[in-house]
Amino acid sequence: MNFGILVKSAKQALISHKSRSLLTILGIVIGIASIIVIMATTTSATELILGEVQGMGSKTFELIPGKKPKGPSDFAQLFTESIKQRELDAILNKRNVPYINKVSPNILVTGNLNYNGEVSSPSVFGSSTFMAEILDIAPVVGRMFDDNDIKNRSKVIVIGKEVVDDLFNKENPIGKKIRIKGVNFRVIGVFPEKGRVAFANIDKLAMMPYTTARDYVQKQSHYNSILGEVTSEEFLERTVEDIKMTMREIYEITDPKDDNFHIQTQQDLVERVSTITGILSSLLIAVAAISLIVGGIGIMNVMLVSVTERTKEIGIRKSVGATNKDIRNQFLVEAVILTFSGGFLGVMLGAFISKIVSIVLSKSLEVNWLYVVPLNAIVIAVSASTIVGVIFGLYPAISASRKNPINTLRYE
Amino acid sequence: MKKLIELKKIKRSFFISEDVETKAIKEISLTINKGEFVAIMGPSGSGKSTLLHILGFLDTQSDGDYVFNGQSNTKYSEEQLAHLRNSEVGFVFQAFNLLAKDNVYDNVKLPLIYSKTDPASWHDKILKAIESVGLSHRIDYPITRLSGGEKQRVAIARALVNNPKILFADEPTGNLDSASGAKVMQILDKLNRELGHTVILITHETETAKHAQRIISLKDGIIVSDQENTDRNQASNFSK
Repeated sequence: MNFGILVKSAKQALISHKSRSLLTILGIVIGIASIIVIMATTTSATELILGEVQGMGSKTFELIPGKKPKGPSDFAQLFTESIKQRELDAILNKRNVPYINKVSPNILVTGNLNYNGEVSSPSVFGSSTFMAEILDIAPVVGRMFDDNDIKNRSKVIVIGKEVVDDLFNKENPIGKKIRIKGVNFRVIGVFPEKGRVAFANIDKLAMMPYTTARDYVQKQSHYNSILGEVTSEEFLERTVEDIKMTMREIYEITDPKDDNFHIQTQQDLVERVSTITGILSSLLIAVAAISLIVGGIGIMNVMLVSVTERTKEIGIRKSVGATNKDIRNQFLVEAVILTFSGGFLGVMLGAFISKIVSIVLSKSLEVNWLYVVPLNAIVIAVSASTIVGVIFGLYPAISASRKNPINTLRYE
Repeated sequence: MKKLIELKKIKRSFFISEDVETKAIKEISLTINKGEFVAIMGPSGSGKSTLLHILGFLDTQSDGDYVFNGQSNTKYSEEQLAHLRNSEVGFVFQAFNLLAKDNVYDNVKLPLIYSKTDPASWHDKILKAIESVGLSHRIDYPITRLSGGEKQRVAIARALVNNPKILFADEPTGNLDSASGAKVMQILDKLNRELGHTVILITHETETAKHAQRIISLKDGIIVSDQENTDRNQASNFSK
């Protein structure tokens, strides 16, 4: 029997039971829609996080004290003071680590900014000029501190847009004195309004020379991290190894398990983010797959009822020459058309819900949440629905095809 | 005359339960030639329907041999039997057995979709078959809007569309009033006389059986008489 005729007669049969067909595929529609929504939102979430990670640049690394946290108990390690000037000097020594281009030793400054009774509490960093370069936030008003400021431990600060709004009521902030932990700083620049870049909100940021932060504000000898850049991307891996060797030599570490530092690269972060979102989406898809199975059982149930209802029709078709295979294919095509249309409607519904999710998340989280329905999600959804049709349609179709023509003709 | 059907001592029994056997056909031997119009008569339970099912490849005998067109039916696979039902025989049933949701055209088309014929030839075949039963004016009518007699004529058109060697009619007038029944019989008569179709008619009405050239009577699964019909009903020319 010709496939076109098969599809046409299956469509006719399904249309003649419109409401039943629609109710039957509801399970499939919901299952497929959830798969689409899950895949679309996890893809967007991954894109969003990766976008931030990639803001760091592919030539950069970050040396952080304490070993790489693998569980909640490891986070205490981050407060070790293993990176001081001695370590920084060793790393900057070309004989130890030849391919470092620039670094920024970073100091986390704890404390609020005060001006004339107004208070602002942004993230405050002591760093080198390289930090602003990486984040691509050269001040639009005033200037960035320079190497001289670092050398002279100048009490200067560059602040973000929100900090300006918090402290200065329409006044020009340049040249004004603000206080942090009892130390006076002169505002020399304002960052451009950029929002979030690489996990940091530039608008709520303040930056000062790391030497100033180290000696006058935090009064600590260790660095909270060292951000670095290699001369070329191809040397990143080697540089990471060189730094590890240098650090281990200083601390006489023989077993890497005893490391009191770790190094993060963009690649590490990308892999970690992808692993986490991958696990998350597989779990969610497993849940959605259960709804597909439930939907499939519903299809099987309805197809069995339909086979019984159409016993006479099966007999008529057999009496005029339909083979068992023809009858089986007829019911199988009906089941597959049912689940395929369910899959199609599910993709539509899922795409629609994902769109709403993207609008709501963009508005409420103030992020640029991309609306994507990944092609592989559509392919998976459509093939999954077709496979469900074949699997759950096969049993009713075979039982239809095996009916005895004489008994079926007598059936009323 | 060419031998079309030859039954050699066929038997058919059914098991109602493990050890209760019903012999629907005890033993029947029979030869039917091409172009014959045979009526099979008998009371209910005489085995005439079972015989028709075997002859029409809807069922197979428990024992004995059925040779159709020179070949034994037991040699065919299920698929080949389906193909024989499609291309060699046509059925007309008492209960019409049409697809109620389809129209006249699609019902007549049904055997063609299971055939190996060229789809390009279908339309002409369908029109010809519908015309031969005088229903050209009802071609796109849904089955539900037809009278009983018209339904049976659609069934005849469907049986004819694939140009079978043999036409089986199982109580074709059983559900019809006498006028519609007469029209149906006129058509079967015409098919046999003018177009040379072999017709095997099952009936328990003596009047209907009189259309046949030969009347076979069954009782309790055996043939009790098999004779020429000297009193053949001369049907008047069929008109719409």
